[in-house]
Amino acid sequence: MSPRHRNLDPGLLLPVLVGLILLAGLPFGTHWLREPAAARSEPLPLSFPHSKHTGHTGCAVCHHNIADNDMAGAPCIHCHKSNHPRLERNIEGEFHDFCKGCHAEKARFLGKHGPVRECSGCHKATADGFLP
Amino acid sequence: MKAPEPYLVWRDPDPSSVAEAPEALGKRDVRKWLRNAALLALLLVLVPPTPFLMSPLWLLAVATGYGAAILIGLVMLLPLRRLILWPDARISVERHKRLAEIALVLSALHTVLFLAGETLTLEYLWPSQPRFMVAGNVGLVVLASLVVTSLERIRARLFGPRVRFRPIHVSAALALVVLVAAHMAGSGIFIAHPMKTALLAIVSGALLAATLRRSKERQEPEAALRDRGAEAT
Repeated sequence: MSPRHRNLDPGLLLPVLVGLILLAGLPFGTHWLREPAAARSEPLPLSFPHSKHTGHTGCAVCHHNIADNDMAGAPCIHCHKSNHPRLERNIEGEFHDFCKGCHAEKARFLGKHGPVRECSGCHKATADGFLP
Repeated sequence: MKAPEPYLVWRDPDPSSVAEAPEALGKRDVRKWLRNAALLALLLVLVPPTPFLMSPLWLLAVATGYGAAILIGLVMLLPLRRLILWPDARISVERHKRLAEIALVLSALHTVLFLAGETLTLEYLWPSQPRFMVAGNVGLVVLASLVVTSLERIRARLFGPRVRFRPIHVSAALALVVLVAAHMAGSGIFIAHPMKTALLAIVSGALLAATLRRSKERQEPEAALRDRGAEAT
């Protein structure tokens, strides 16, 4: 062993290496980290006041299937929580990023914005919202 | 005479030799520059794009969590013998323990504030919690285990000699760093940009790699004891 490496602790090489590999994946795994560890039995109540989103948010921002003319007024969750494997996967992370991302973007430019942090800002039952 | 504390860092740089040698002074300037750059990088990680969008309670809860994370980093950095960022820093075993205990208290406060202030966070105690919360909850248990098993009586009973205790203790601390980084990146409170996540991964990785370096005590036990004797006199 060279003098340069004599100062290193060989007993810690493996745990450090494992840790470094995990940390290297961190920038690519944030979305995965936001997904639930186990399936949720009951979805949390969710308020989406439609009236507050119309006007300054284009319909197609949320209703991405508007061109297919099959919206039928169904809440997003009805499709995205269906058994379709592509839609169901990563849905919690995707919805959080989608809603909070849009709110934070508006807040960044000091515009009127929706909740960006507090859970209860969105996850509550209200008359003008919907319960999925 | 009171026995000196068992220092994890045994030798301080000699100030007179630094003053006499111009190249040593240059090195010290570089070290200061590196330290300032590291602090600036840390600030860039911490400063959120939208700082005042949360309630004071949320801000306090988040601040306690970040305080705990910074303390965990310091607890791991300070025992290192040759420090780049703080060359004059040294810490005793007792202070190492006290800092870790404060980190545990801050982590517990972080948890309690969220549970009390935002009742929906009770969801994070169920199996359906997000994976970043699994990292956070397991991290809290690991930190508590590190602190409790470091208590002299418990350590002696569970591990016997220090030689058996240290690899397990350090490995658990390494796991804690990864768990804390995953928790911070996943929660996306302040680390809400891929560049910030990458910076967090680099800082955490540097912390892991730094622990590979042996302390002087374990490299040259006799020299370390000699230094300690010199300090006592």
